[in-house]
Amino acid sequence: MAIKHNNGIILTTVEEVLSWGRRNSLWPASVGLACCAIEMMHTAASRFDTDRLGIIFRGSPRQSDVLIVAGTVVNKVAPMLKLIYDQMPDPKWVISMGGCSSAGGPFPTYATLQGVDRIIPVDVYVPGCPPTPQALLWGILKLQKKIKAKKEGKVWEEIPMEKVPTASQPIKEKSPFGF
Amino acid sequence: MHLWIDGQDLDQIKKSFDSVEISRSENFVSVQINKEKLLELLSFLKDKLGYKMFIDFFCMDFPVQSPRFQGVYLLFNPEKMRRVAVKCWAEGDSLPSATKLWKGIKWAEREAWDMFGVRFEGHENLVRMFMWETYQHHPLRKDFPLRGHGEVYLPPLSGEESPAHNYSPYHTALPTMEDLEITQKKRLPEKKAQIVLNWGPLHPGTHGTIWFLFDMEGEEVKECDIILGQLHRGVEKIAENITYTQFIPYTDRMDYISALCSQVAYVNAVEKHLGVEPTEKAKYIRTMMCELQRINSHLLWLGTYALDLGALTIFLYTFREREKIMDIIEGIAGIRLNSTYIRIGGVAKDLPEGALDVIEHFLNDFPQRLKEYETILTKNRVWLRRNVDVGVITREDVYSYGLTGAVARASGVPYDVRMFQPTDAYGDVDFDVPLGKVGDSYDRYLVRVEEMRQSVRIIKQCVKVLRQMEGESYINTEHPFVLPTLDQVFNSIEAMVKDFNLRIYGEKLPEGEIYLSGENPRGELGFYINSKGEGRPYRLRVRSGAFYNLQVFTELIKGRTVADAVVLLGSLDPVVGETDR
Ligand code: SF4
Repeated sequence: MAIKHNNGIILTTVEEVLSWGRRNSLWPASVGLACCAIEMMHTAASRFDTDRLGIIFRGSPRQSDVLIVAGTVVNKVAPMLKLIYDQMPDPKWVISMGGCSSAGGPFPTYATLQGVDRIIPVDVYVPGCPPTPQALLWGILKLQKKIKAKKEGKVWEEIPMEKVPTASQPIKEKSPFGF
Repeated sequence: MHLWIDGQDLDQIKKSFDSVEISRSENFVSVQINKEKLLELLSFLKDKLGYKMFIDFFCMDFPVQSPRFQGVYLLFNPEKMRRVAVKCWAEGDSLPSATKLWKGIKWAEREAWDMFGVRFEGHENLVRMFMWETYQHHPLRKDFPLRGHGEVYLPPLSGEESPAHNYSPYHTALPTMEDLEITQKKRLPEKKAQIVLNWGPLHPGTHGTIWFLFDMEGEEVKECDIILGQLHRGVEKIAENITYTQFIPYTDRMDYISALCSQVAYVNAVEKHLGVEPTEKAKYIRTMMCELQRINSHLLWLGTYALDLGALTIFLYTFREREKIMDIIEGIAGIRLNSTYIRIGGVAKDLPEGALDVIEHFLNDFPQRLKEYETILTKNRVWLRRNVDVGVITREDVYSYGLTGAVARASGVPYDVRMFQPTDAYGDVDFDVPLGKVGDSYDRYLVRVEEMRQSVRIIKQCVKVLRQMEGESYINTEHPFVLPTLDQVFNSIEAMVKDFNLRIYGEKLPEGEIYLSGENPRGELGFYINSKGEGRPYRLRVRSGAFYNLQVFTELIKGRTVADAVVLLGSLDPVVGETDR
């Protein structure tokens, strides 16, 4: 962690600065594949305005460090998408946006890739069909947290499914009164 | 309103061709002819009887019959406003190519070859439309399974225990880079000019995943072809495997920018065949939502079009307006983009309280915004230089390529499905159809902007009527094939049984065929349904406006520079979800 001194000096590590820079200037490659791309555009445009989070969409994969797979990845496009991923410089991250790119979505057919994680590693899955811009922002914030956790040497752990609270099984916490 | 060929023309056909079989029903009239006489009949229809506009061509598969495949040609007579279908069995799995008669049929024949394996004699370059060249199957054949065959070993990278689903590690065939190269080489078999330039498929300017090939001499494009299929998801195949109501969400995901219009077009076709009459209120809600969606769609077009030409401001402005419409749609339908809101027999939910006020507020504000955009663009010198006289489409091209929607109207062809085949409340509202004079990109821009104004006019009328309809029913649940509302399902046992039956067995459409279309923001979106009396369609064909509109691009770009490609593509306004299906 950075240490602040009163006379305007900040002591920190190179690691910290790099991670801070990386997570606050995520530049996604603008790869729009299907319906989800429209919501991705909405996230970038006037109302949700990802620029304020340092997220600027780039036309070239060589300038970007995060790939938002927005839309249905069909078999034919899979090798091209892999190529784009390979062209991105390290370090790089992948957000899989929507049901289609996460698991094939509503298209369990001969033509559709059943989950983009069969060809490229995915860091954050955003559910939805399409996910709202808020959901995509959630995904991006999650990714930032993930990058931060990695810097601190922590292992980013998924929440195991049984620990996610559901409506039928409320998590019983001990009350402060002990009953 | 009868939209099919009249008896007079049929008599003429019978007189000239003795081997025709004519089948007439209310929703579909077809003329069947043998393969030898096919081209003769088609040119007779085109030249003598005035059915000069090409609408669609597709195939059907009847595996137990011989010959197995049947081709269907849909033609339109712009003077009489009549349609006709010509059917022909593909003996020896091949048909004569009709590319000499209509240029627009070139891609449709490629698609039929790709999907069914029907060959076309005399086609200039019969390659696969959607799949890659080395793909082994013809997926729309009845003996090909929906999920394909597991051909490659492709386990998930996230390890064995994948959290979301337990799928098989064997996946359907994927192309390699070499396969794609072969596909690309086959498109332009003999390179004529200096260099072949690839544009796309994952380029921000291609509006999705279209893959262009330009054969160029210096800056000038000599030859062009387009590779589609980068978003081919097999929608028509899915349709054969699910019930009619289940297919409604897929219509959204085809043309995702104008989801509501696609739903209405599809549901109208099903309703007409079933004989369901939606309630009066539902009709007005549908028309209102359709027009909202049209504004929404045209705004996206305007924003991205201007963005491609370098005007970033417009993009941010139109998206501000789009957010407002999205909020309205979300408030009414519950979902922002792919709002599966239309149901057979009506709509899914009633209008919530205050919805009409919000819409009215938007309508009061919107015309000023539109004026703002026009102030920035319409007389802008750069805008004029890039648009005027670029990509002129003649009337002949419109008929021969089967162009519809704003592209056809900008060329002065008054082809508007809302006008000559009014569904829902379109018959009761007033609106004008703007027409262009020259048919260049600038005209297409003007036509679309004016269309937004007309949409505002239509919505205003709908809001006025809907204000008086408060409390009326929004779905005609009396009909045996209309799903009951949630309220009814929870409160009465009959409704529950009906709901169960319809969801499991589907709506039993009577045996027969229907073709009905709707005016999408991108052109005529038609649905051909062939029912065998079961709960699922035997064949469902989507006639996509964007597919045929995009085809004219290859013609327009010839002799122009690459810089114009962006303008042309933007002004044609294709959506890949619909072109590829
Ligand atoms: S997840 Fe849904 S919205 Fe996104 S691309 Fe797939 S079908 Fe379209």
